[in-house]
Amino acid sequence: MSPLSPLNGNIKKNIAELEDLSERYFLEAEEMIRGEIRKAGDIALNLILIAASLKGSSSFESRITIDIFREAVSKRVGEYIQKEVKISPYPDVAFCIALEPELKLKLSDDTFFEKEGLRFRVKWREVLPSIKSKKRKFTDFYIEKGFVYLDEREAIELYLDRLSEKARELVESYSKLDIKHHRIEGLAQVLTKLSDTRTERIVGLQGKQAPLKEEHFPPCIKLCISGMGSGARNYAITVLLTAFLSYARIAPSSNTKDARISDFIDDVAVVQNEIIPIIEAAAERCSPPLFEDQPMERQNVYYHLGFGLTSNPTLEDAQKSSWYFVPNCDKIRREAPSLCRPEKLCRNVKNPLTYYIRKRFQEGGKNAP
Amino acid sequence: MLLREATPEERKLYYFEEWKASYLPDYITKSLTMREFAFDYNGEGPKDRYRNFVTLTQFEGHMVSSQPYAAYSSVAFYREPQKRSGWLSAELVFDIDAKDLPVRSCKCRKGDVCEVCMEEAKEFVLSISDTLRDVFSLKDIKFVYSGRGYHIRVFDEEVLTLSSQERAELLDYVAGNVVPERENLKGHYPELFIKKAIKILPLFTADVRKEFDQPTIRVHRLLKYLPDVLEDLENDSFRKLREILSNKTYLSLLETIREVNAGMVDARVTVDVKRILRLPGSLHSKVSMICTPVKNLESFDPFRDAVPKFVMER
Repeated sequence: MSPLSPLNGNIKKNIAELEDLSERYFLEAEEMIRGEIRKAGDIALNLILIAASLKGSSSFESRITIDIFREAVSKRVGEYIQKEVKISPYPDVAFCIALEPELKLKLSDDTFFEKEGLRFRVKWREVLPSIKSKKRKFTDFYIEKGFVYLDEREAIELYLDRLSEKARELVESYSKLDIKHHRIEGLAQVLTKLSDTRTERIVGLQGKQAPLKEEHFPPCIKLCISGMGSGARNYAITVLLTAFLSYARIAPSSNTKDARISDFIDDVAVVQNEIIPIIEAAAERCSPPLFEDQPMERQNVYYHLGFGLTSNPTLEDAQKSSWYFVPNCDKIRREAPSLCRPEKLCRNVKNPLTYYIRKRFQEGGKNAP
Repeated sequence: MLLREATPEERKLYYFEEWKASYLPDYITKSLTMREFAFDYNGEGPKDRYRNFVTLTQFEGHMVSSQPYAAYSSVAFYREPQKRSGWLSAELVFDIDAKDLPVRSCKCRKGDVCEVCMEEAKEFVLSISDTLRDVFSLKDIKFVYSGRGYHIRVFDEEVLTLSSQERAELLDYVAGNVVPERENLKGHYPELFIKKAIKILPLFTADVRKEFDQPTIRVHRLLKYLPDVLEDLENDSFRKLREILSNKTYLSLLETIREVNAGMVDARVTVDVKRILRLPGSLHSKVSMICTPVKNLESFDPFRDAVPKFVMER
């Protein structure tokens, strides 16, 4: 087992031992969650993961927990490298051993890569956890003949990504068990308090419902509104523009996957009077006009808003299909390359909705609606 | 005579007199029971889905008796293909369609193909397969001529269980769908991006300007200095480009190159782990060509090697 990893993978044993654990471990875990300490032992870190599982593996609490976990392990790795690896007669070998078995790191053994500071390598599939977590892209790495070449910092990041992924899987496994323990429930409450504070901050930043301001729309949405040619128009109007306008107007701060429009508005007039006219006008500007050419697409717009296939939606219909979220920039670039004409602000956002929220915030300062 | 829609009689001729079950490549026959099959009988799309065959004879019987307008099989392997459930794994697939190439040196109208753009599609296919081999060390790569372009089908163990998102990221790399960030442009990916830029830039014409919203003046300026720019790029440098273009224009041009790269491959096919793909050996009735497994891509000529007999006799 890695000297650095707090995870032992023995879920049942960890749960069975909860009853006999000393109170100090729970206190240590609580201090860690509150940010009062930055380092914690293996047991305390595992307790935090168990507590997060009570809130569900995809909850905001779980996401916060993984961040706490990652930061604690990162600290541990940094100290270990200073104290143990650097003084070793073969520091690179010691470094590789320290990161095993999470990362099957090898010495690059190639003078070209060593000159570039890329002293280590892993098989390309080893970087998948970082790709999955969207922290890195394949294009960020130096890849050759199936190996990804890394410097020390990149190797550590990769190690932390892998460990975070494992921690996420552990939370998921714990969440399938019926854990009843009052101190764990207490820790889960502390996590919820932290999560509430952060959510309030995010909602504060993202703003509340407000009329749409076209001047704050990102370039891809402005392109959709200007009308598209036959290749990209269905995606532009029915998928991207519909999702963007509805979320930007109705639920700019929504972060749940199963949101419904009726959770946010009491009157469907907001959709009919403020969103649909923009979509209709954009569809008319397409060449050839989208709804003339494909009348079914009009119903498809409502389908993407969650009302099912209809032409006369009511709020009661709002659960008949999924309310499609705004696709990420990556996805737009892939599926409709001609829609992505990024400008400066685009470089720092991953979703067109974030662009709109930031722009609105920049314009209105803290008092932005 | 070529690329004309096949009549029902011609389809009958093809499946009665020419097509044999042995036209199916091994990678289909060996996994026949794990794949979903789909059929289009009249040119309105594959409406007969969720089909599964237990034996090759059963499959052969269906093809000969139904003479489909188009036949498809899943890239995915299932425990229960007739329900599309129990997903086990999926080939990694890239779809390059000559009719959809964003830049072409021929005069084809959008949606049409000719020998020139088919050759350009082939070159792009070769560049993708080189990247898959050299960068990701993938070896089990098959090519299929699809009728108006090519499919690349990868069977290496390492890729079969990739998620949709992981496939998308891999596609970004091999297609050149990310503008490289590193200034020194060293490293495999930036070099790959430059190589693609070298191929694309000479095709930047007035049409490209219209298509990609590049101001005329920028394209003219670029064309004027193109030999120098290309020479620079060959040496892994964007110096000349930076010299002749303002920073904003330079960045916009890199974005256009990325946009062209992205348009070369149909991303929806790659990321869909349950996609159905035109069946090798079947007839592409819209253009009367055989969807053909390709052994040697470099020497393959669709207008010689994928033409059904009934077209020769037309």
